[in-house]
Amino acid sequence: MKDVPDRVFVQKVTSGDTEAFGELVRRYHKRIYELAYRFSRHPEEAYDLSQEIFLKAFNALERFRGSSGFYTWLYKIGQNTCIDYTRRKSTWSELPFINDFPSDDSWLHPSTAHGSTTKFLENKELSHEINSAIDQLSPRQKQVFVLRHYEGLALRDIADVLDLKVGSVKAHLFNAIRKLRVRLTPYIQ
Amino acid sequence: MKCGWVENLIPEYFEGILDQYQLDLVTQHLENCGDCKLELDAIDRLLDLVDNVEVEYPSAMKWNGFWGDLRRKIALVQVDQRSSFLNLGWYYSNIWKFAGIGCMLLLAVLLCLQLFGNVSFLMYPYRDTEDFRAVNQFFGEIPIVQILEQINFEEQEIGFVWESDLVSNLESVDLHNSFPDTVAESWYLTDLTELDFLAYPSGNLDNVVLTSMK
Repeated sequence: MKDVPDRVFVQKVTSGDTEAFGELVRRYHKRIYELAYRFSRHPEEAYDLSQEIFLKAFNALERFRGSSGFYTWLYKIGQNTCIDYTRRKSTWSELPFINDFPSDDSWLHPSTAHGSTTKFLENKELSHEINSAIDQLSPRQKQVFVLRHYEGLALRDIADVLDLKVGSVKAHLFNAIRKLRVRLTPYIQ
Repeated sequence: MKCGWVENLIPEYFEGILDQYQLDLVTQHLENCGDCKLELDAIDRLLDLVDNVEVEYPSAMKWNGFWGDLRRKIALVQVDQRSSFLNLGWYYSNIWKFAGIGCMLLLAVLLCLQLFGNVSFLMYPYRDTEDFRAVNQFFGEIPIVQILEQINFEEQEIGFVWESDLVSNLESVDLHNSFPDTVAESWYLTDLTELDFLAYPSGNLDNVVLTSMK
């Protein structure tokens, strides 16, 4: 099944076989979830956001022409959805940083769960602080920072995605780093 | 070079987005300035810290039920789409088909009107003998010189003059607000000098108002 190219499943889905979409989801939902997490900084929201991304992709699949790979196309939808999400979120009242996940490590991704739980808990406060600091960036700064540092996009690509000038991207990135520097000073001394 | 200036460039230095001139200046400064070197190290640690934050995943049960959840949402959307009379997604995905059918229908209607109706689209539209009659009713059989003498009123609808033989001997015409190329096409009017048509409506010459005489 792993060797079957994406386009085969895409064709099946467009012919009415919804279950074939399940295989595409299985292939990419971790990557899409991680993209969503970088923007939302919260597992519950990242889960919902990644579901939204796949739902959008499913509804738009008939318009997928195959000029790029399926994942490239899906990733683009993911990026746009996440950018919309940060815009939407900026208009919401500040969400509390919810920490109500079960204390056992069953909810962790296997790669994390295999590590030391103690070490994880030690790092949890730090992760919380970092997530919180990134969350407090302005929507634009957050978009630029996430796309640059977590998605590894070049400045010009970020400018294209966000419809900004490269100079503006630089300025947002500069201000984002400055803010994080101030907020996280105790952790980098 | 001042430290403040370099400090401002340190984030860009880290991102590797300084131009060569700035890069040389900053590198040179960092070799000799302990404070800026410290700031550089701090941002280095900051980015390292931020980059290494692990992704938190939802519970294993929820994680494994990702496709099941999504499948239910897809099913709901599909039910909505089937039950919705205004299925915009379906219309959107077939928009080019609709556009093609619409164009063909429009062409068929125009062709029918051209062939069987009293409307002409594919040739010069003012060939209807009605137009000539209108002109003749106004000018009658009076020679052109006399017509010019007679037209001394401020406003007068003269009907369709476009293809009138009666005005074909005039030397030129001044059609304000008219279409020069249209006028030029009419060899009937090329010699008119005496008539001054002001503002005829919407390009139709069958309702020209004569407002003054020269």
